[in-house]
Amino acid sequence: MDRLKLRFIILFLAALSAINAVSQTSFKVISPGNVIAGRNFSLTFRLSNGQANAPKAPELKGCDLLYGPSVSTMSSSQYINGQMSSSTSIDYTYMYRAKEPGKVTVPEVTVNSGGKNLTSNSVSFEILPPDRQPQSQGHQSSSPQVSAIDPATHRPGNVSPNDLFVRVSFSKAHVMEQEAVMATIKVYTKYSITSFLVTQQPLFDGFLSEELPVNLEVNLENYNGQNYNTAVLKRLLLYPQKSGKLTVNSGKYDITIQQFELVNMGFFTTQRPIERQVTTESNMASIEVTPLPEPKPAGFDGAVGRFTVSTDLQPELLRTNEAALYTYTIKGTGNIRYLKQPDVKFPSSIDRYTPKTDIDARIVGANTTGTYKVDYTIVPQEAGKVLIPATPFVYYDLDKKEYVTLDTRSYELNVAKGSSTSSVVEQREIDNTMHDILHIKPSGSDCQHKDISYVFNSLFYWLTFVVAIVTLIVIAIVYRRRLKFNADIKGRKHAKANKVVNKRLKAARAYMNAHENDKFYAELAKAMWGYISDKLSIAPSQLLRDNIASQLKAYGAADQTVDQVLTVLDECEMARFTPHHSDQEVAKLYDEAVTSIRSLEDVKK
Amino acid sequence: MKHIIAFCSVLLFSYYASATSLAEQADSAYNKEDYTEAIRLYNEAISTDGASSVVLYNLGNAYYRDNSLGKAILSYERALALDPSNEDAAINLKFVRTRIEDAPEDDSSFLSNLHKGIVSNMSPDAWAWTALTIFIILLATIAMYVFSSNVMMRKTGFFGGIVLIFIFIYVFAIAYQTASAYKSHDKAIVIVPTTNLSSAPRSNRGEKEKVVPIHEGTKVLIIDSLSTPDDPNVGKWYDVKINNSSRAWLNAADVERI
Repeated sequence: MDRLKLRFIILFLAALSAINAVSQTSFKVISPGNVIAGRNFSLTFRLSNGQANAPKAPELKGCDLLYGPSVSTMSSSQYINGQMSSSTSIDYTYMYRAKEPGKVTVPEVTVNSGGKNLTSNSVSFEILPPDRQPQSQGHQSSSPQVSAIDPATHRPGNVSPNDLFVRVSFSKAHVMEQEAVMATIKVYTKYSITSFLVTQQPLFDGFLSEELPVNLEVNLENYNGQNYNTAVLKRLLLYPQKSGKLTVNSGKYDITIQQFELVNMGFFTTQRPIERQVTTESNMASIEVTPLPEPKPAGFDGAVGRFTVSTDLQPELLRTNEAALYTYTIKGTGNIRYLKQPDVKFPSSIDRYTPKTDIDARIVGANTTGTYKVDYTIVPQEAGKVLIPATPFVYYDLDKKEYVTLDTRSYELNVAKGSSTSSVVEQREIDNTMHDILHIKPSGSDCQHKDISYVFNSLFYWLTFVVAIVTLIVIAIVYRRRLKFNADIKGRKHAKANKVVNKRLKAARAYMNAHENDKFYAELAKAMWGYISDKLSIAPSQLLRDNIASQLKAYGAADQTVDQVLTVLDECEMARFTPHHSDQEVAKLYDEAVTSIRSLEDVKK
Repeated sequence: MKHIIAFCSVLLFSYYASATSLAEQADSAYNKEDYTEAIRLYNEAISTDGASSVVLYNLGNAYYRDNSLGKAILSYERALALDPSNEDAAINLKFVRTRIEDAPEDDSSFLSNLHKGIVSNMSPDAWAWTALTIFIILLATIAMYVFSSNVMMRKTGFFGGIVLIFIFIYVFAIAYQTASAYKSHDKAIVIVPTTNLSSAPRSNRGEKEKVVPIHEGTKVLIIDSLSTPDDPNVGKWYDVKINNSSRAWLNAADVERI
């Protein structure tokens, strides 16, 4: 589609240039500009690059044809880069005299050139009434007449501010806020101007201004009953930003005008031009700005005029981490250049780059028409359902005199997983601030108590402490005793010695009565050794016949007792190797053993 | 005979109460957004069946929904006094405090916050049992030190015992504090939209006296009270401390003790 369009444009341009090269035949009328009643003026028809008979002089309302046509021919040829081009033009000029003030329209005139009918455009101009002369003054006014032809009127002298001034005018007297209004700054003069200098720029407080291009064209205009040569200095499109009476000034200008001085040359007088510098005063103009009606609807952002809105999303199938373009286009007439970016509420799962605004507007008449396009580059970050909400556009319609809301489409999209994954996963914080209280908890009846009782205050709790402490104390006491007992293990053995020896002696006695002498001696020896070991706290392995004697003596035993113990031990030893003993011997030994043990018992301590 | 009837009726009543207790009726009233009814039922439930941290918390919610911020804060404070581990009550109290007019006192030192955080971990009973457990372990370490013959064990017992003594004192203090919190009524909440602090326990006379207003939901510490039977306007005054600093007198009718 686009390619086709492009091709078409190229073809068109080519055709246009071809025509240019051939030189176009044209026929047009040149406007004389405004004229003053009672003056002559000329109307010229120009035929370019053609041959034709003179056109018939058109009938003009309120004008008399004086003479014509006078024909003038002009031809030129150019040779550029080996290409020859030539053009001719024929001017047919008719002279008229303007009689009555009014608006005159030159009708279309047709001529035949080379078998082709050419029709001129139609122009209109005004016949201005002649300057009103002040009635009261009998003599000729010093105010000069507007005419380049008649320099006699331009006598040197003071330039009245009525003869040269700069004026600012509005195209409308009442506007709405934000409604475009055209302001024109014009210079009005009765003198010819040679130079022009801006000393103070015009001020437009309370307006957004946009300057339009002007071509300096001098025209006649009747203002306050006087005819002036006028030229547009500045043309601006203003958008009032506040309501009320707004005033602009035209600025100050230094203008050099030309006046003529009569010089007496003797026989005749001649004229000499002299220049004169005039500073024009700043003129004011005001305009009534009505505010936009209240209440302003939600979403209204100052758009005034008439608009249409469209949105677009390319591509429609979104993928994560792949850019898409959401376009919001506003088309229409109004303050399109000064619109604000629509606030499209993209969901948080979509990253948005700084939007790009593209304004394509041109001035048509006293207003701006064009498109205001905002491109949002968006990158979905998460797969899943996503809603780009509609962003309504609200403007004030100047014709309907009401607010208009234009709805746009909302996009409900399914974002697919993209192929590319972003290397950086941006983590967002969950909005965890509280916005409301938490909900109630189900109140179970079981947890309600008539009187609040804590474990801490209960007797049981405190008793547990007491029990724990008492337990520890009891354990400590028991342990202490055991420890004491364990520490006195030698004493225990000592105490046990008598018990053990008695047991052994009893056993020996039993053997004796049974006449088992071997066992008797063994038992008796064991009894003796064991008793001494326990008594003297000597390990059985350390017991020897020699150290027993010395140990017993150190213990404080009498020599007699020591001898007796040693005799018993020797006898026992001997008896083990001499098998035959009489019962008497055995009984005697037993008695000796018992007496020795008893005497040892007494020795103790 | 009379006793039997009374007993039966008590049984019946308790059966009915367990089927749909007043508090549960209040819950359903709350869920139907009938907050005034919920408040009435919760209060009745508290007066007949006794208070519980959950019921007080729910009552606080109902007061908040009914736009009585002072009463809501009061109920949450009571719920927390009853059970400091009621996390929801703590959260809602913190939230509602951001809604009241007077900025709450800023006592957020590191240690006090730490202490509050520790206390809010368990219910008073759990603290009591923890204290007991730590005490028994303490005794065990003492026993270890006294009875063991192993040097390592004795060292462990000695130092462990010293550490445990401090832990036990702290935990026991918390157990005491939490168990007695509900019984201590030295703090109060302003329940009227605005009340004036006065420098003396008498009504303001003339414009000379500077009037400092405090608003609903502000917590004050009651230091003393004074009955003024001669004063036609105010029967009883509280000497209060606000934000741990300024002292003033306050109409007792404008505040409610926690």
